[in-house]
Amino acid sequence: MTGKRTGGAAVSRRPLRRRLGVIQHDDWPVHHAVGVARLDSVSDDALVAGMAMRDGDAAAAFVRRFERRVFGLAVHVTGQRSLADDIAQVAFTRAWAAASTYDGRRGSVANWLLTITRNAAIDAVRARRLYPVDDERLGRLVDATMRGDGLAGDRTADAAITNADAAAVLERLRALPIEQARAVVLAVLGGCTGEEIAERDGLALGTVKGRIRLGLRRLRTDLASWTEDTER
Amino acid sequence: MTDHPEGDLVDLALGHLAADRQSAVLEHVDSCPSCAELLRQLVAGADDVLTITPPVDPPAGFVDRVLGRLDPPPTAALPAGRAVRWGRAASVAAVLAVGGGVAVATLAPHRLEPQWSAGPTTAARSQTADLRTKTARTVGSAAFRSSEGRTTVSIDVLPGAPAPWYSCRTRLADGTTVELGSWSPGTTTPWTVTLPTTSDPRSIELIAPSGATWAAATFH
Ligand SMILES: [Zn+2]
Repeated sequence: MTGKRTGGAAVSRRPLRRRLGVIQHDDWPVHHAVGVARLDSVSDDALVAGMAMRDGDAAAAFVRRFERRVFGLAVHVTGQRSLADDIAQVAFTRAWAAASTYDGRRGSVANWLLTITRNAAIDAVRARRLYPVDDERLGRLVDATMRGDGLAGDRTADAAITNADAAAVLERLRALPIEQARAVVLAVLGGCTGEEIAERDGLALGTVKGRIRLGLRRLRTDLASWTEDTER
Repeated sequence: MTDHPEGDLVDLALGHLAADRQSAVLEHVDSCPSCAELLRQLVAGADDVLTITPPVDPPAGFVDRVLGRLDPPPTAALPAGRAVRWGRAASVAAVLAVGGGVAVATLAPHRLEPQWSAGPTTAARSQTADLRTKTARTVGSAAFRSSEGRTTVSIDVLPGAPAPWYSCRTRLADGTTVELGSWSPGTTTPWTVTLPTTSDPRSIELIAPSGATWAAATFH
């Protein structure tokens, strides 16, 4: 990919550490001719730091790393591939614009990016008054999520860590009562409102919101105890 | 039923709460530790679930389409002997939304504008100041360290902050205001953000979701 980029600047031959200048990362390898392929092995945080300094190679590596999950989430929420394509692009451009505000102490890069994606997708769905009531699609989403398809998501250098975290989340989700797990997946990944889930499943709104609340809460409580257990 | 708006908190955490309900709910959250805790758990739980999003292959050419619409466009290599400084004009709402916090705010359009500043590198400068509320109660401390065009700002807050998150803002000596992102009580402290700037912070503020400044530190 080196030397061929749409809308970007010429590929620099300066060492990346120099180009980033003000940002130091101990895990950042020093290369003298950095191409996108080389960046595939740096950490997620380092790529965001590169984007904060407006490095096009870092952006290209970042998009390649996360495109499948960002596009996936946009498809799950909107149910439309063409709209999802646009939303996923918007999400990446927002991440690029806001890269300097990312703080690794507050959550993972994947989380930050997927939250941006989810917000963009929900805004788009609401603006277009689309309602994600495609039963079959949402059913497939719940099945795929519970099956653990998301564990093989990204081409990320931090895949081992990401997968350990994601596997723990999946384990907790599977441990929930199935109706709570379904409500959580439809609400978070499917972008459904409580009203939509209630209508879809023929339930009272209060019941649905209670399931989401209990499910998310228990997911979190159990995760906290899981972390303590493994650290002991 | 209780007086706690639990159903609204679910909607708020999922980004579905109607705009006209948000301020009332956030006002309650600001003054109710149990709702603040519930909201924090709901947001954190939703964040966790995002990490297991099933992936889908995007259409061909996706990467190039994204790179073609990056704004501002990627920069070429920096000229020798110069440091780039990013002037910022991000809104609190934008930072709240992208900062991974609650999806309450719509992401307002904002952009980063590069300004070239020639400059010899200077010696490191650092300062620490108390974070105080309006009633002069000390609730923590804030510090910065500047060297070679980079300024690291950190805040350390004592337990007991009432809101589920705060947006953090700094005013720089050059007159610009920079949104640092949002910080949530209970997360790791000190909380640190590095800015590519040569201008020293003059003050750091923690702003509650209601928009009111909860605490501030002033440097001299
Ligand atoms: Zn309450």
